[in-house]
Amino acid sequence: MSRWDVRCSAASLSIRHPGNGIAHPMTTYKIFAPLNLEGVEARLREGFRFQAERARKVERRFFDSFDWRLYGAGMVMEEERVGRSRRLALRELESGHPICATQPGELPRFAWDLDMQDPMRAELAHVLDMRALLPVVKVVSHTRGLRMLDDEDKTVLRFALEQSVASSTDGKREASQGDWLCLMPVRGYDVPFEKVSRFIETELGLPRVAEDRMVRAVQALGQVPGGYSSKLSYSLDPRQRADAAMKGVHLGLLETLEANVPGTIADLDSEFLHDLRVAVRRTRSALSQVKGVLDPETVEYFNQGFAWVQQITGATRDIDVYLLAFDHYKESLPEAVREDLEPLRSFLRHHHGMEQKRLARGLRSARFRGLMREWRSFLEEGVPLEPTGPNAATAIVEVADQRIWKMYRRVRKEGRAIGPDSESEALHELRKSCKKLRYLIEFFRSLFSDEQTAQLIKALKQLLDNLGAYQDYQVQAETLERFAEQMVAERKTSTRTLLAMGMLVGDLLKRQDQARKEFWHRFARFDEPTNRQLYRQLLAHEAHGRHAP
Amino acid sequence: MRILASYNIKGGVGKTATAVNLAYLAANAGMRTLVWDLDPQGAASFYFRIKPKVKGGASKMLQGKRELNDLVKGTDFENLDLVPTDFFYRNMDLALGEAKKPVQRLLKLLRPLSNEYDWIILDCPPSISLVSENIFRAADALVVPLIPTTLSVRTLQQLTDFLVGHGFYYIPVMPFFSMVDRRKRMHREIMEGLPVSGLSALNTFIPYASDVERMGIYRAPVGEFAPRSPVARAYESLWEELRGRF
Repeated sequence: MSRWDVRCSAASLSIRHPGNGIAHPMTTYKIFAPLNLEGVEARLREGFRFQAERARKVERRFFDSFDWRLYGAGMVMEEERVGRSRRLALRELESGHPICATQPGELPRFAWDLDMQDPMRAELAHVLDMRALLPVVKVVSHTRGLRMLDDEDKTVLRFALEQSVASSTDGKREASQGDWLCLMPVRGYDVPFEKVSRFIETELGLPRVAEDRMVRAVQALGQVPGGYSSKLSYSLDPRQRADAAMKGVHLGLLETLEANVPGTIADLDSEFLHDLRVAVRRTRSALSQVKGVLDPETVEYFNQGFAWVQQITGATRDIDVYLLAFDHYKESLPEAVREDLEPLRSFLRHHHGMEQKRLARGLRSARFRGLMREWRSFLEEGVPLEPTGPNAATAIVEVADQRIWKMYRRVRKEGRAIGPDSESEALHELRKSCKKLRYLIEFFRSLFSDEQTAQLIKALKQLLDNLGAYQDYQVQAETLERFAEQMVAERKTSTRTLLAMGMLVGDLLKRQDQARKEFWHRFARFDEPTNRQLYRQLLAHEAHGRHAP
Repeated sequence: MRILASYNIKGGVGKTATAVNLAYLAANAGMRTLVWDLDPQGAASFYFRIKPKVKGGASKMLQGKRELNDLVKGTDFENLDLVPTDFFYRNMDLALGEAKKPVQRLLKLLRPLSNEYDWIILDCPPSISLVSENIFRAADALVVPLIPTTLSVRTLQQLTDFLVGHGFYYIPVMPFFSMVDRRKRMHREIMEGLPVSGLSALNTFIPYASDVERMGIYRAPVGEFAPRSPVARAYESLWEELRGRF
């Protein structure tokens, strides 16, 4: 189960299932010609007793992270403005049930911008993690409210007759959404709600609308909610020519890369840059690992181009890693010295600002834009009739089999060669191979059975997590030492801070040691017979063609 | 979820007005709020225009055959729900006495609602009984309106004695002065001399005001029909002060 899956299931656990006494959430009906808002109101008044409320203009903005984490977790976040009042509400996507609401002074960009006590903070933090909330779509509605009263003048049902226009957050696109009738039941008053909804459905013949207001608005603008994901999802035709298939894979990676450029330049949150870098790494891996498919000179040219992108984005990401983990680092220290670490945070922020500027310049440069343009036009032009590499015209499934099998064997060989005295370099090399293997499996997933690849990725991920931790701890310890030297040179530190950082380094090295101890166990699990069997089954052709493991 | 009980052994001190107005302010601040009208007189239900049930299932609920959830009614205000009173509550003591673990009944009924509400405010009947023991068991704090009279202050002493004597010493007791008439010398003197050691007394006081009586005419919280009145403001400060305690 990936990290994302864990999030989804945890969120769905918290969904509250309504009992009998809970009001249904809002029910919406679409009004069609020849009926209109006035006609519907007149018909309703014939049958029921209402009190009219003043007409209002309601502005709603919907928020989510760039990768739609709230939507993915089955939630919608809405900012509602009526006159001067503003309210932020989180609700369930499917049922419309409210989860929590708040009236913050300022709109939060991150979960941690909200008050510690605000229940929304925890709800958001759980799903969004470090991602920023960004506006998704705006809806302006002109609403007339009606209230149905009982003989005590108690409201037993609310209505809203609505005319809405959806617009994109930059205001460049607009779409009229027509007329709606919304029914908002009052909890514990089921009978009037059922009576009226029956009347609307049978007498007026209006259809119920199932989708959430946010989904309707996004769709009205011709977009797809949940449209962006950094996860790879291709559906390749196994018999397709390898060069054409690989161009498709690269095009998908390029889409992800380009989608993250504006957010990276604007520094909206750390994950734009992260996703951008992952797309670049995957691109380079595909270029160099799937050999003999594209023209070697072209491959070399673009590989260098992407190496440059990796290089100009590296420094900012390095600092991001520290800033994201900072609170965690701080908590790992004894309480008495925790505050001593704070100058490191200011140091990191200061340097982050500088590196970010440099990075933004790089991504705005003619060189970067040229690279993107050339790469896209290369990918979009058809494949040459005369193949440019020995594997170019081979069916992609064969190339995939061969590449995965080869990389799998390499991982096994490198892993088995690691002993208690091996240098850390050997583990780093193994990690690189594991990553390559993982990317290959992910690119070609659609060519194999979903269940099998899921198992392979899971086993591989457990090993990769261990190797990643091992290397990260080491790199982090080394970088901290470098930061310490830099801070001394810049006269931005005190002895106490250096001592606290030293403790942190010690802690990181201890954890690295721990990861190394676990490595054997993890690798043994990866190399166990059932997993080997799985690779052999999946890549039967390759496995039986050559020497079996 | 926080459970507040608006409680006093003595009647007619402004318990219901406290429960109704605090709940209204909590809901207004975006908190999901529930009032449970435990007083068979049903004043809170009346203020919210919700008809109390003569046979509303409270008996089955106390026997554990029905959930509290089923009895919740939405008020005219967003985020604010109410469990109306039930004529059966006049016999609640007897019914509780027959239940298993009689002191935990109320808390057990409230627990399933803990995810749904940020605040639950209990409007309690006066007197000390098995019902009040249930309330002490369930509540995170007792908010005790107190008219600055000798008799009223005496009941506060009775309450704290009872709490200590029955093992409820841990509940914060938050008395505050209610229906205060600053023109009365006795009110002023008692307010200055109240022994508050060991109590989490609130500093805000609620002035005596005809607007509170008019709640029965408008059938709404004061903030709804007289939002700028001194008493509406006083409830706002009381709510702010109370919220700051959690």
